[in-house]
Amino acid sequence: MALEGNAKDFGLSEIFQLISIQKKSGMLSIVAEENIAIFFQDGMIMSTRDRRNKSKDPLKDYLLRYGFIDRDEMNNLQQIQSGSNMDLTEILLSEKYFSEDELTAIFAEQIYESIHEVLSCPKSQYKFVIGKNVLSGIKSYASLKVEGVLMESMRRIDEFPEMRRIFPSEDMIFQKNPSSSTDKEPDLSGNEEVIYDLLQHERTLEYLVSHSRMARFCTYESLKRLLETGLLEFREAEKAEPEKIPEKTVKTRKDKRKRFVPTFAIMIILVASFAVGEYLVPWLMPPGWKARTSGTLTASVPETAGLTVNPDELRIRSLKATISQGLDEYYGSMGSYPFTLEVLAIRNFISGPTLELVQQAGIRYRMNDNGGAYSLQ
Amino acid sequence: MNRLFFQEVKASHLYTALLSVIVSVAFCMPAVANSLDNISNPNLKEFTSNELRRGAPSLYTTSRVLYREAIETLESGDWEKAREKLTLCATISGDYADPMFTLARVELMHAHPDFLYHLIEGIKRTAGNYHRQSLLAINLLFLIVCATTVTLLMAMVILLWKYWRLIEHRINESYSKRFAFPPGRFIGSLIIISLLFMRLGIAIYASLLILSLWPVINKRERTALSFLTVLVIAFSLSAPFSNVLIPAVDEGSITRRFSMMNMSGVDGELYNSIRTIDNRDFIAEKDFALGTLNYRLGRYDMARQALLSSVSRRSDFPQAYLNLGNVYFMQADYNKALAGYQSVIAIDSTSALAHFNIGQAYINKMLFAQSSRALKKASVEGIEKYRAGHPAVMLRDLTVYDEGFPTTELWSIAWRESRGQNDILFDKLLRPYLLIPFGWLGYVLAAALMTAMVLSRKTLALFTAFNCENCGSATCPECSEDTTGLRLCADCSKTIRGLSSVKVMEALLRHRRQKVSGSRSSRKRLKTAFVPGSTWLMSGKTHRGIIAIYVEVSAALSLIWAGMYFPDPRGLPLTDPFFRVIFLISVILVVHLISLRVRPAREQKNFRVLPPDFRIDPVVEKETATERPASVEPKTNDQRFETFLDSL
Ligand SMILES: [Zn+2]
Ligand SMILES: [Zn+2]
Repeated sequence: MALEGNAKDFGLSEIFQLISIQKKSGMLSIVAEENIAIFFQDGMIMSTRDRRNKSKDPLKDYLLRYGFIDRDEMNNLQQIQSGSNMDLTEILLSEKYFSEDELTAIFAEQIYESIHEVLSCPKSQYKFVIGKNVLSGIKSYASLKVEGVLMESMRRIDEFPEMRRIFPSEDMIFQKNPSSSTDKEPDLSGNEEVIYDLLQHERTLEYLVSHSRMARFCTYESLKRLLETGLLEFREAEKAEPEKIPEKTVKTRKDKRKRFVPTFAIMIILVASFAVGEYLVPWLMPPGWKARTSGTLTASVPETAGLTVNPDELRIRSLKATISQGLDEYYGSMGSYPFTLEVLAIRNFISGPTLELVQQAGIRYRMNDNGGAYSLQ
Repeated sequence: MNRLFFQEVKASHLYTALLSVIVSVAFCMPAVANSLDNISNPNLKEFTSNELRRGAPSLYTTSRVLYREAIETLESGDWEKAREKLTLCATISGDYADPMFTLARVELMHAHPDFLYHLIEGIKRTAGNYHRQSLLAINLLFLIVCATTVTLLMAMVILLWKYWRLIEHRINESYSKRFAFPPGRFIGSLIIISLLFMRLGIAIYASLLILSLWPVINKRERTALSFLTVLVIAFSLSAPFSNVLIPAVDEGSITRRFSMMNMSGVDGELYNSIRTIDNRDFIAEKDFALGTLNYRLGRYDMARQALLSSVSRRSDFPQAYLNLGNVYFMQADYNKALAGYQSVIAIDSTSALAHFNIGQAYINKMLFAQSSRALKKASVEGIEKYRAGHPAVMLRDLTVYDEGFPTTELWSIAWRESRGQNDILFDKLLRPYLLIPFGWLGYVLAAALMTAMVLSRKTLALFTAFNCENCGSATCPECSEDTTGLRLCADCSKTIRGLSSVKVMEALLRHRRQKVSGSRSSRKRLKTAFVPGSTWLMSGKTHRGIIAIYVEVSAALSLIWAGMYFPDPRGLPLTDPFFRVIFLISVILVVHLISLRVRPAREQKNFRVLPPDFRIDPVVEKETATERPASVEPKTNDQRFETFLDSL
C-alpha cells in the first residue's frame, strides 16, 4: 500500500506525524527541487540516505559543505567507496575519520538539515512506501523522534528569515572584536566556541560556514549570539576573481609529436633488424654455411662416388631409384620399357610430381634395344 | 619337384630323405607353385619367370605390380577379387609389407577373421630386411630429433607467453630507468619482434629463451625444460652416430647396392652397380656379391673365382663359403662343395642352409645316412622358416640354396661405410634452421643451460620478478611493497595507500583482484585454445603439456612430410589417406579437444586476508611493521609465492 499526494493538499509535517503516530516503517520519497528519501522505522526517522541514488548522498554533501572533510579527501574516499563497495559511513568509521559518537551526532545533524530543507520547500510531491523491506541495506546511526525533528525544523524555518536579514551576503568578513579580546578568553560553550576559535584571523562568512563543522543555521545562530555579546565585529568586502590560462591547444600538439616519434623509431628498429637478418647474418656465416635451402632441385649437383650427405644429391639418387623401379614395374607388366617417362607417369607408375622433379633435375631417359633396355642420364 | 633328386637316388634310402623334404615342403609348395599360374598378366608372368631364371631371391617388382593391380581392383569396389590379388602378391614376396597391411585393412572392414594374422605378418615384414629397418630407423630418429627440438622451442615459447608479464615488467622497468624513449611499454615486444626479424636461427633463439625464462619459471618447469634440453644436447652430440643410417637413404651407397642383390634377379643394372664399386674396404664383399650374382646366372667359373677371392680376403664370411660350396656343387665337385659347407658350419653351426646343402651333397654322394642326419639338422635349425620367408626361392626349384647379404652383415657394412663420412646428414638437413652445425647445438644449449643455472643461483635483482600477491600482475622488488605482509604491485599498493583500516584495505584489494584477474583469465583462456599443450602449461601441468606438444608436433611434422621425411624411393607413394592425413589430423584434433577440457588456472580463490595481527598504527607499531617483513616474512612470502606459482 502506498500513500501519495501533493504537499499543498496535505502538509508534509502532517504526513510525518501520521507515520510517527502509526509507527509505520517504510520510505517516504519526496520530489521537490531536490529529491530526497526519508526512511522510517517504527515511526522513527532512521536516515535520509538513499543507497540506490549513488550520485547524490546527503551525508557526503553535508560533510563537504561544512568542512568535516575537504574535497581531496572526499575524492579519495569516493574512490575507495567505488573500489571496495563499502558504505561511506563504514569507511569513515574504519579509517577513523570519526568515532562512532561523532558520526552519530553528524548523522543526526544531517537528518535535521535534510528535513529542514524539505519542509522549507513549498511545492513537493510525496509518496510513502510501507514495508520493512525497503529498509534493507540502510545504515543508520541515529533514530530520531519525528516530533523533535519537526519542532526543530519549524524553529529553524521561522528564524531563518531573520538570519538572512542579519547576514545578507556570504562575503561578509568577521573578526574578533579587538576591544573585548584583550585580556582573557571569554567563557563560551559549544558551537560558539568553535566559531570563535576559527576567527584567529579575519574570515568571510563563506569560510566560516564551510569550516565550522556544523549546519549553516547553527553557524548563523552562533555568529548572531557572538555579535550580540560583542565579541565579534564584521564588515563588507569585495573579492577579485582569479584568471585561468588556456593550455589545451599546446598540449595536443605536443601529444601528436609524442606519438609520431616513437612510431618512427620503432619502424626504423624493425627495418634495421630485418636488414640484419637479410644481409648481416648470412654475411657473418662462414662460407659453405647456407642459411636457406634453395628449395628446387638442380642438375648442377656434383656427383660423388661414394656415400653422400648432400641433400640435393640424395634426392637425385632416390629420384633415379624411383624411376628405375617404375620402369621395372612398367617392363614387368607391359613387356617392354616405355618410350618416354611421360608414359610412365600417365600409366601411374610414377607420380606427376616425380615426373616434374625429374624434368627439373634434368635426368635424361632413353629407351634402347626396342624397349628391351634403357639408360638414365 | 626335384629332378636331380629322383634321378640319382636309389630307392633303398629314399624314404628318409623323402620324408624330411616332402613333409617340409608340402606346406608351402602348393600355394607358391600355384601362385605363378595365378598371375593373369602374360607379360608379368614372363617377366617373373625371367626374374626367377636370373636367380631372384625375392620377387619385389612382380609383387609391386600385382599390388598396384590389386589396389585398382579394390578401388573399383570388388573387394573379394582384390583380396585374392593381395593374397597372391603377399605370398609371392616374403618381405613386402604393404599388401599385408592393405589385406588386413580390407579384411577388417569386411569383418574377416584373417585380418589379425595379416596385420601381425605385416608388422613382422615391416622391419624384415635391412633396408626397411634402416629406413624406419632413420625416419624415426629424424622425427624424434626434430620433434624434440621443436617441442623444446614450443614449450619455451609458451612459457615465455605465460611469464611474459614478469619478464616484460623487468625489461620495461630497467629500460625506463635509463631512457625515456621509445616508450618502455613497447620495448619488450619490440625486442622480441626485432629478434625474430633478424632470423638468428633456432640455436640462438633456444639459448636466449632458456636464459630469459630460467629466473622466472618454477621448479617443475625447470626440470621439464632441462630434460628436453639435455635430450636435444644428447642428440646433437651423438649426431655422428646417426650417419650409420645414411646408406638407408642413399640409393648410391655401397650398402644399398649390396642390399639390392636380395631384391631382384640379376640384370645388367644390378651387376654394373656392384662391379663399379671401387672402395678398397669392401673388396671381399664386392667379390662375394659378384660371385653370387654370377652363380645365380649360372656362370660358375667366374663365380668360383670371385668367391674364392672373397674367401681369401675374409675368412669369417659364411655366406661366401656357402655360395662357393654351391658353385662346386653345380660343377658336381661334391667334396669341395662339402668342404665349403663345412667351413660355414665351422663359423656358424646354426646355419640351416649349410646343413640342408650338406644333406643334398651327401645324397649326390650316395651317403644317405649322413644326408638324412644333415637334413634333420637343417629342419631343426629352421629350414622351413627360411622357405616360408623366401617364396621366390621355392619357385626357383633349387637343389641347394644360396644366400645373399644377411641383414646383420648389411648393418655392419653400413657402419663401416659411414665411418668414412665426415659430414653429418642431420647437420646438412637442419643447418638452414639452426644456422650452426647440428653438432654445436649441444654445446650452445649446454652453455646456455649452465649460465642460466649459475645466474639463477645468484638471483640477480635484475632478473627477479614475481606476481603481485593480490591481483597477480607483474611486480618486482623495486616497485612492490610488502609492508602489509603481502607483496603488492605498485597499483595495488597505490589503492590502499594511506589507509589504516584492514577492513577497507581488504575490500579494496578484493575488488581490484576480481577486476584485474577476471579480465585476464578470460582473455588467456580464449588464446590458449589455439596453441597445442598451452592449456596444460598455463595451468601448471607441465609434464602433460609437454607430452601433448610432443604428440602434436610429431603428428604435424608427419603431416608436413606426408608420412615420412625420407620416403622409400622404391616404395609406392603413400596414396592411402588414412595414415597420411586422417590419422594424423585426428591425433592433433583429439589432443586439442582434450586440452580444451583442461580447466583454466585456478586464480587463488581463498580470500587472502591480511595477517590478523597486522595493524598499521602509525605511531605505536610503525617499527614492528617495517621490521617484520625484513626478518620473518620473506620466508613465508617465498613459500606463498611458490604455491601461488604452482597454482597458476
Ligand atoms: Zn596487484
Ligand atoms: Zn617493478
